[in-house]
Amino acid sequence: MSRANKRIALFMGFALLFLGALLARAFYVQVVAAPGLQEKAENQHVRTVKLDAPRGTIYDRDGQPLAVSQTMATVYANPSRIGDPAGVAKRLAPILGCSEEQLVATLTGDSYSECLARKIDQAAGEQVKELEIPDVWVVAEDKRIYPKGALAPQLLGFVGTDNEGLAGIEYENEEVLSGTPGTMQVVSDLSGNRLATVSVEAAVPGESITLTIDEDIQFETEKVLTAVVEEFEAKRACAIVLEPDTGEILAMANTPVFDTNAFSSVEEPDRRNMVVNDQYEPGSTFKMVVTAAALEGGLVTPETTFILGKEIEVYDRVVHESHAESVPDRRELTVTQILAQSSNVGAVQLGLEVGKTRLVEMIRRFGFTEKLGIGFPGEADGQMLAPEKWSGTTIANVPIGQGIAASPLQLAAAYAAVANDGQLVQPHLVRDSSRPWTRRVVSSTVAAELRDMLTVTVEDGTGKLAQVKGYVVAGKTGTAQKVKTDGSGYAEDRYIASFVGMVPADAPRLVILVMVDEPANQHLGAYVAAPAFAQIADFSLKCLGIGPSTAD
Amino acid sequence: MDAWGKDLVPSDAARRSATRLEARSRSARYYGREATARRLSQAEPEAQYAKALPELKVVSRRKPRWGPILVALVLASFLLGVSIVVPMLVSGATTEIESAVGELEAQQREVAAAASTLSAQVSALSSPERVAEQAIQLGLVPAQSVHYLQAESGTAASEGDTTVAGR
Repeated sequence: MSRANKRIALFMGFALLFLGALLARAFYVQVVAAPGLQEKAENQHVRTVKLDAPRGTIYDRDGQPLAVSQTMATVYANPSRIGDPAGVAKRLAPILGCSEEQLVATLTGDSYSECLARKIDQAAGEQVKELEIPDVWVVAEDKRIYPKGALAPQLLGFVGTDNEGLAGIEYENEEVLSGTPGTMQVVSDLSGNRLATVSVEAAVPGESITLTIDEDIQFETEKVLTAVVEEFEAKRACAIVLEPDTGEILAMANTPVFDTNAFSSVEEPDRRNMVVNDQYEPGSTFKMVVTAAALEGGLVTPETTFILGKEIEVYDRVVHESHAESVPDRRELTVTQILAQSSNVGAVQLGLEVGKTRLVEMIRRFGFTEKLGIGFPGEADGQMLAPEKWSGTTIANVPIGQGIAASPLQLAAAYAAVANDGQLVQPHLVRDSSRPWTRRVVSSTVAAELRDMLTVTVEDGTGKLAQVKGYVVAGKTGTAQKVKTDGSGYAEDRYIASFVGMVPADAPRLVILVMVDEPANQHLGAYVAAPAFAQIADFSLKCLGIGPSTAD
Repeated sequence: MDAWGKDLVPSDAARRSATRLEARSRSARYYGREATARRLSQAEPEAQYAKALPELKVVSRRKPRWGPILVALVLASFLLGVSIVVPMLVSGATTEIESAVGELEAQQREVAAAASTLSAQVSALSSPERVAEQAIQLGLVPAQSVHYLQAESGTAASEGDTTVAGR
């Protein structure tokens, strides 16, 4: 071999050696050390992106969206890298709708991330993007919107800044509405641009729910309540409209009515859903219960007559008629008249006839001592003194709706049972696959008798102002004194006026309760709440296309 | 020359040389480099030994066999190139696809956001509160008399007066 050939062979040998070394290194990198190197690389370039789960929509019974999620823009900045805070603030302030001074204060500092504006309109976010200010960026975020504005705020509730339900329907149905956030691991370059997707765990969107609420009836009910509060200078008012045969609640209204989008800025007392969360001594509307107990026990019939005085003494308690001055010293009243004229003495007399055991049993059967499971947070379960703790005078208080507390919902549900032939259907707010429970409270015969007696109450008794032309209305007025704040008896100037009834009484389709708290210039339920009932009933009947009971 | 040749008896070294020559001759033919070399006849051992010596010089001048080595080098270089370039191409393509997917996802989000915004606007515009306001502005009032057809009679109508009795 010549010298030249030897050199070439040597070169080739080195080349082969180098090639072999390269291949060996490649094998080492790609196979032997791959897992460790991959992990190091991922730590440097792979970032985990949270995938928000869109919150489900809340619809009314006709598919009208009452609460929706809308994508908004949130603007962030890195103050540590912004050299001219004043200049940046001057450009951003008009778009973000805040003062330059405020922005300068936020942009001045060493922090790496400051939120300049949260959940602003997307258009504003786009304007910020177009400015292309270094170290200012825009992130998309969902915001809960209540497109109907001032409609059922206490019912719908609200969500926090992180879109978690904090009150009302939003809170109660959090698990269903919220969904499950997902994650995505992506490889990105130094600028944050996505180069590759490592893994994706998709977000599961929240499910939508459909309420039993009818937005038109809800709106009208709120409008009527607002007018009543204004007219009678009342502290507040609430109302509920429900279908007795299905248990579906068509309206659940409270005052004051405010824009649901501004829920968090409203005082806590105004956020309360009185219909469900509050309980009060129902007063005369509770006389239906003692009457039902007497009828169900076979102790009386609607025509059974009692001879009554202006007052009745039970142990050390003397119960008077509410308008004792206009009542004769001695009069004869049938059970129907006792209910129609809302006689306190008559109701106590019925209570004495019924006795504690039967009365307590009937109260329980109507659901006054339990939560009805309506599907709303903070549901009141009512208050009744334990039977073994009843004093001799308790039997004189409870029949006239004192010494016992019930929520407006419980009272409406009790009347719904009467309207539904004695069958109580669980009231509920959300239409879902679960069937509401039902239970018999009184016989259908007793229920029919009660409806007839309550019809007399409206046609010829205290509830005349609840009449709706063309329809037969059955119902009961209530005027309950409120307990003094120190608990020492009842206040003389603070009342709760109420009316609860059903329409059309011959084949009830709706049960409506109106409660007005502390009306100032008139306190009788017959004058304060009954007309409101009539207005709500009139609108609801027309809205639902329920024809008149009688042809004119 | 013949007499000289007759007296000659191959030594042991000459025999070994002849054997090696024979082996090289076979090897050379195998690689095609001594295609013209003549195979020595077994029947003429003496003549074969006499002619074997001059052919040694020819065999010793073989050229180096670089061909297979070059082919191996080219192949290895090609493989190395492929192993470097192909991942780069795949990575580039993946990045482009990811970029396109990212853009499409962004578009999807924008469209979904626009849809939800419009849906909310429609819902707000159809709210009972706004409808009531618009109706009042247009001078509309609730119907004072509503007539219902009786299904039983077919033609008869009943009236439901919106005037509440107590108001």
